[in-house]
Amino acid sequence: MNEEKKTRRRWFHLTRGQRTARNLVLFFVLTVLVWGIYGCPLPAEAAFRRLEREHLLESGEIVLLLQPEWGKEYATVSVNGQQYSSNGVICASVSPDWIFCSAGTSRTFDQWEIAYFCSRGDGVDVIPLAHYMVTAIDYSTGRMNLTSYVPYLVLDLDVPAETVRVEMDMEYRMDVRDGEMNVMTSGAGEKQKSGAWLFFLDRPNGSAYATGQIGAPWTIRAYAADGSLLQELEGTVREYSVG
Amino acid sequence: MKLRGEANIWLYHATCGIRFAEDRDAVRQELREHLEDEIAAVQEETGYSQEAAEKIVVQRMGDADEIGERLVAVHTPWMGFLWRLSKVLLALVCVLVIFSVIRERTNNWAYNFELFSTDSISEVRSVTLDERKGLTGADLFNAGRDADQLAQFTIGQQLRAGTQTVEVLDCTIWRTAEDHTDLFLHIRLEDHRFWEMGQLMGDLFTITDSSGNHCSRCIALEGGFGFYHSEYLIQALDFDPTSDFVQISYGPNGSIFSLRAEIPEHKWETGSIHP
Repeated sequence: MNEEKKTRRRWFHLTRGQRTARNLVLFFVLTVLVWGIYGCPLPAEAAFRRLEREHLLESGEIVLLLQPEWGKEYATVSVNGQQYSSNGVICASVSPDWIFCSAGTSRTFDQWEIAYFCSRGDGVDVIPLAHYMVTAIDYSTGRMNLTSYVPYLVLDLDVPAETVRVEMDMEYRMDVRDGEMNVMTSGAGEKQKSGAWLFFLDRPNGSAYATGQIGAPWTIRAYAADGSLLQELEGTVREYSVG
Repeated sequence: MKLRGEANIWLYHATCGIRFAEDRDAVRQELREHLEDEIAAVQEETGYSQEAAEKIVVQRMGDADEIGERLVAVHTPWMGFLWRLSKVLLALVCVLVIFSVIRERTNNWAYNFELFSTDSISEVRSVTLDERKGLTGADLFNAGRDADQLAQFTIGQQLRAGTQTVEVLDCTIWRTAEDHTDLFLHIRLEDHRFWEMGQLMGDLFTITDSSGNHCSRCIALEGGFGFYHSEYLIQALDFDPTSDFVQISYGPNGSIFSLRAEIPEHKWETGSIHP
């Protein structure tokens, strides 16, 4: 009887190495499970790449990645000396055929809010990230300016070398109680390291989101140091898909 | 038997170098039992007192420091510490799993989760055909020749788009209102990476009939999903039911994928494919 018990015990007995291996395998499997429960979060750029693949795209060239630095809650970007702040991540990539943009509410992009998909056109591409809102920080008064802005990504914009300031005007379609009305808004832009331009335009209260801007006319003006106009370009916001 | 003076000191010196406490205790216990047996044997043989027997046994055992060095060489601590670490990690992740499951319990993420099913299309619950509303995707494909169903055929074409495999499975055409007919496509996306769930956007579809007319609008209705797949029902509004083929393009200028499926003459058969 005792022999039988001993044999049975030996059968179940694992060496310390085997127990360690078993624990580590279980740890790995459960960690993957937890990762899955939380929506498989990844760092911003990797998560954006994953989103591209989920939308059946090959990897494009990333032209914009705004994300908070480690330990900070807000991503900040400076355009013409004005600091703009956002509490999430914005990322955009381009290929010869398409432009893909997205914004997430956290660094790991596990909570995507929106994905924009536009085809590349000839000339300047103006892509409104209209679902995404940023605020401006006004350091002169030490207070946060609560005006909200819409970020615009502008591609293939070439301005003369002597340009010191670039501005964009856009005519928004705005929902009002009795219908719609158009509102002019404007803002300055700055070239990013990738070569893409980033503009922040005032968002009028009640302005239509995303698709309200399809077909909206825009004008981009480049100015020299003495304030003289160097270049003026006009166009309309091309059709894009929002998912 | 309880060890006294000499044997206890020998035991301490022989085992004190083993760094991992559990190993040290186990080795000490084993040596203690061995010493006790030896002392008992000596006492039985010679009739000596325990102290005298301990002296003899300790002399027989040899130099404690030398034995201790050998024991230290055999019992390296890292395996013990790794084992202990694995226990801590496992306990922590178990707590995390319980916490996560409780936290996510209220979310209905598992609502339309299908592990390997190919019938996830039944999870589409929002199809509207004129007066009939809230139909599931399966209702459209299992209608049993409803008077309003004009055609149903299998396409069964697989394509690669990025890392995803796109499979256009079935097609059906329904009369949705007077002078309106819609085309429905059952599409499945597969990827071996379970953390990447294929997504389709209705706006990116361009569905064209044999006369070159585009459908007025395409709607992507999300079906079920699983570890390795997601399924969609694509509703293309205003498709000509007399068309000879359907041209399906996805992405700007069909840049992501494109295929043409012949609509069989007898419209309840398998169509032929021209990718």
